[in-house]
Amino acid sequence: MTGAKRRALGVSVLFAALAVSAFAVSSTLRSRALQARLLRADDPAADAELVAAATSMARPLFSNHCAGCHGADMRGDRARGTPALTANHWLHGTGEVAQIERTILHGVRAGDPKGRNLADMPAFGRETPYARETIPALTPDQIDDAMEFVLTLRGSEANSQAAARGAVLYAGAGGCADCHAGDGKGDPVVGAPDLALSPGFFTDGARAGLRDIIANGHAGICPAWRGRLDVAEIRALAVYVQAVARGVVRVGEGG
Amino acid sequence: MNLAFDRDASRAHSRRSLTLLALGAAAGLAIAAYGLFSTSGARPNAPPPEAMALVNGRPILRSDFVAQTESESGVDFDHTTMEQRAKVLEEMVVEELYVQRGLELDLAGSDPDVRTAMVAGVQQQVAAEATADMPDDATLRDYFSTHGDKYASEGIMRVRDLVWKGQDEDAPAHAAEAVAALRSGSDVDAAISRFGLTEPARVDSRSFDFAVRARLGDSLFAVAAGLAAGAISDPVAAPDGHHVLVMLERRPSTTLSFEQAHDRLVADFVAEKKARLLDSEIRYLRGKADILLSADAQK
Repeated sequence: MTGAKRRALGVSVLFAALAVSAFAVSSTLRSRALQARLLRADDPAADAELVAAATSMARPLFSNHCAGCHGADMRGDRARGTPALTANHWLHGTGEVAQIERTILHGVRAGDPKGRNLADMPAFGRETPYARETIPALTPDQIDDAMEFVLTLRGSEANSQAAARGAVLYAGAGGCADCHAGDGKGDPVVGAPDLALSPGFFTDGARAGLRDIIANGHAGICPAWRGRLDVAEIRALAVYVQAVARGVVRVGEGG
Repeated sequence: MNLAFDRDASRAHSRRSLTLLALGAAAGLAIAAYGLFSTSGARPNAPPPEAMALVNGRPILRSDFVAQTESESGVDFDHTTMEQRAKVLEEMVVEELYVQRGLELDLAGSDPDVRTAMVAGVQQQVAAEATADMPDDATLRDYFSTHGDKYASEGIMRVRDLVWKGQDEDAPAHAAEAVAALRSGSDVDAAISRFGLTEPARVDSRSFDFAVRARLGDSLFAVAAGLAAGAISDPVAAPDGHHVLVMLERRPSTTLSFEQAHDRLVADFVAEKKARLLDSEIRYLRGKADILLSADAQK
């Protein structure tokens, strides 16, 4: 090869390397800028570009870290008490990105002091229904009465006499209204579900499931991902989960 | 071919190449030196995107800021005013300054409240590690298979406790007559009248086993737990008389399914893991600590 050709080849390789480097640097800078926008945006859901970027980032993260409990289809597992993430009904918060982000960051009953851990569903059919404070157990008939009352909240058929007794329990000795609110609509601050939802977070609305959860209680755990995923990944997951719940993005779509 | 010209051109190219290399190296060294030796070079110009502020290099996270703002204002973050947000941010900056000052003053060495909070904080950090890797299904099923007897529903019974309070030598025979009558179909209330029995605490509704145990006591409950629905116990001698138990309804305790017990399994598994982690944490800390005890402390 002559000197001129070698020089030309060298210059070509140099320019090609510079072009690849420039592309890599600009991609990295663009990605970081997008992540910075994602982190700083008050309402990332309002920005389609951010939602798309978050979805692309979050889908493999969800598959690797969340699908084991919440399901690859994000529909949860009612039998095991894992909530669905697809229906835009929320146990903790009202579905805002910052609230979902906080749940992912600090978990639920995960030992993180900033995590969601204000209350559990007591096991009213056990000698010690609640570890956090002393509350009385209920009898099997009282549990059935409470169950019938919950059925009326859902608009399901119920034994009216039992439901009337259940309503008294709900507001009084059972203490149900303390968390689930007087109208049964729940409290997103403590993570008490809306009892009128059908199917509910943790039961299909049938008597057996309702009786089981009133008698045996429920206190699910969601790990705290702070320090295990970086802040941009957690933010992306929160935006993605909200987008799926609102029907903006379908599970399995995006990227 | 002009060899002399080619040689001169080659030398000129080599000098140019070396010159460019040297200039590039010098520029890189200059940038590195600026970054190393200039304090302004080490200080970021703005907080990272995930932080609202940096206080002496320590971030105040946006997520914490949003949660605090919502907590203080009582409304969603979107509905808070700039004044509310500024107030909260100022409070969080002040709090961070106090925390950093507390570290400088080594308050943990002197303030018992700070010490207690720090111990709890470290233990909670260990607990968070315990939940970091949630057990998979196979692990939980294995745990369930070895601890399954812990996960059972409470049994339910409706039982009546009848007592013949007589303490004379005919008392056992009298109680046995009552049992015979009940077993041959006598109504319970009729038997109470006929044989002069008493019923210390009548409970007509169903009760969980633990409630019956609290009412009857351990020895009578043990007898009741062995009765099927419709069965009548033999007379049981007790300090207050001879007891006859009439089992009207009985649903024994049943083992919960894996799905029903799932969240308790996870909680118990994680709690045991947390206990092991705390134990290993303290062994690790002891192992690398230099602890000297006074002579009288070692007696």
